[in-house]
Amino acid sequence: MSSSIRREVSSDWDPLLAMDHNMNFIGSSGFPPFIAGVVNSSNDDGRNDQVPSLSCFGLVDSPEFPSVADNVKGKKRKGITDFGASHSRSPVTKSQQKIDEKKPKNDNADAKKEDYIHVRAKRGQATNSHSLAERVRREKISERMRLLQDLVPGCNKLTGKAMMLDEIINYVQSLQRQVEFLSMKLAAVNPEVNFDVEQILSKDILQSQDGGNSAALGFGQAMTIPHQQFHGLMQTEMGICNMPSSGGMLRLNNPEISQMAQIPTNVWDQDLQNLVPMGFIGNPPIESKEMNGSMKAEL
Amino acid sequence: MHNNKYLKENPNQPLLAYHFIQALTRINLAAHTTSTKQRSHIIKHAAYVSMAFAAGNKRTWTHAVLHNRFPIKTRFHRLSGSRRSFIVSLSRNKETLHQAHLLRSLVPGGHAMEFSSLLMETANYIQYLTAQVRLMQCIVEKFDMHV
Repeated sequence: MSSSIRREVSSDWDPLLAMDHNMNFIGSSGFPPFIAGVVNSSNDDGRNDQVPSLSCFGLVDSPEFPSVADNVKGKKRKGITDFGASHSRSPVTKSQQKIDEKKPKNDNADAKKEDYIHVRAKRGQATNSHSLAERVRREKISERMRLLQDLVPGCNKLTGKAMMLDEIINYVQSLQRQVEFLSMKLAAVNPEVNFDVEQILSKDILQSQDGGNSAALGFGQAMTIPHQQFHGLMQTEMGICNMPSSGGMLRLNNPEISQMAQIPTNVWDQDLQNLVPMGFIGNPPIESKEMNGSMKAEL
Repeated sequence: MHNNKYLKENPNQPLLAYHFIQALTRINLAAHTTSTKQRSHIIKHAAYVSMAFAAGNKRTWTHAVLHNRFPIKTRFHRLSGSRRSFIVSLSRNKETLHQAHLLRSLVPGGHAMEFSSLLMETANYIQYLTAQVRLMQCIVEKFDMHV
C-alpha cells in the first residue's frame, strides 16, 4: 500500500486518476473539499480517524448555511413583528402593513408573541400582523363608542355599532338644531333689555366655581374689558352658568366676581390662537338630564 | 401603548358663558342696524365660536370652527382624494360607511380624521354642544323672566 502511494506522489500526479486508484486516500490537501466530502461519505471502512477531519474540511460551508438562514428568518420575523407592533403609530402605517402582507408569512407564532409587548394573539385567532393591527383598531373604536355611550342619553340599552352611531348622529343633529333655534330666540329678544339682572340673580342658588374662576383669571391677562359695562355682565354670567346645576351649593364670593370683571379682555378682535395655552380645570360634572326635560318644555 | 385617550375634561362653563354673553352684548349694541334674521345668524355663529374657544385649539373640531367657519358657510377642510379613499376603504360595511360619512359632515373638521379620532372628537363636541345649549337656554329664560 505505501509503495503504491509513494509511486503516485513522485510521478506527475493527476488528482482524478489518483482518486480512482485511491478511493481511501483522503488526507491529501490537493483534493477539492467537495469531492473529498463525496468520497468521505461513500467510505465506510475503517479510516475513522481521518474521516472527521476531512468532513469538516469538506463541509466547511454547510454549517454556516443554517445559521445564516436562521438570521435571515429572524430578521424577517423581527421585521414583521415590528410592523405589527407599530399599532401605536398612526394608522398611516396601515399602508405599510398591506405591503408587508406580501412578505412570506411567518408560521413561527411563538417567537412573534414574544416580540409583541402590547398585543397578544389569543388562542385560535390569526396572528398575521395585519389582522392583529386590525383587531387593535377595532378595540380602540369600540372603546370610544363606549365612551360616547355615556355621553349620549338613552344609549345604554342599545348595543351594536350601527344603532349607536344612529343615535349619536341624531343627538348631534338635535343639539345643532337647538343651537339654531335658541339663537333665533335670542335674536328676537328686545335688544333694549338690560343685561344687568342682579336682583334676579340674588334669588338664584350659586354653585362654587373656584376652579373655573382661577382658570379664567389665569388666561385673562391678555384681554381688556371696559369695567363699568361688564360688571353687571359678570353677575349675569355667574348666575346663568350656575343655574342648571343642582345639588350642594355655596354662595359665590363677591370679590371673585368683581375680580373677574376687572380682567381686561378684547377677545373677538384678537387672534384667538394667542389665547390657547391655558390650563383646563375640570369643573364638577354637570348633568345633562335637565336639558332633556327643559327641551321638552320648550318644544 | 401610546396615549390614545384624550383627557376627558368637563367644559369650562364660566369661560363659555363669559365669551358668549360678551358677544351677545356687542351684538345687541348694534341691534338697530341688523334685522332679526341677520342677528340670529350672527348669534349662532357667535355660539359656535365661543364654544370652540372654550374648548381650546387642541381639538380638531375647534380648529375647523375657528379657522374655517364651519357651521355658517359649510366650508371645511377636505382631504385630498387619495387619503379619503384610503380611510374609506378601511370600513367594509356599507351602512357604517354611510353613517361615518354623516357623522363626518356633522362634526366640524370630520372629513380630515380617521374613524377612531372622529369618535373622540364627537365626544368632545357633544360635551361642548350641551354646555352651550344649556347656557343659551338659561339666557333665554332670564329674558322671559325679566320681561
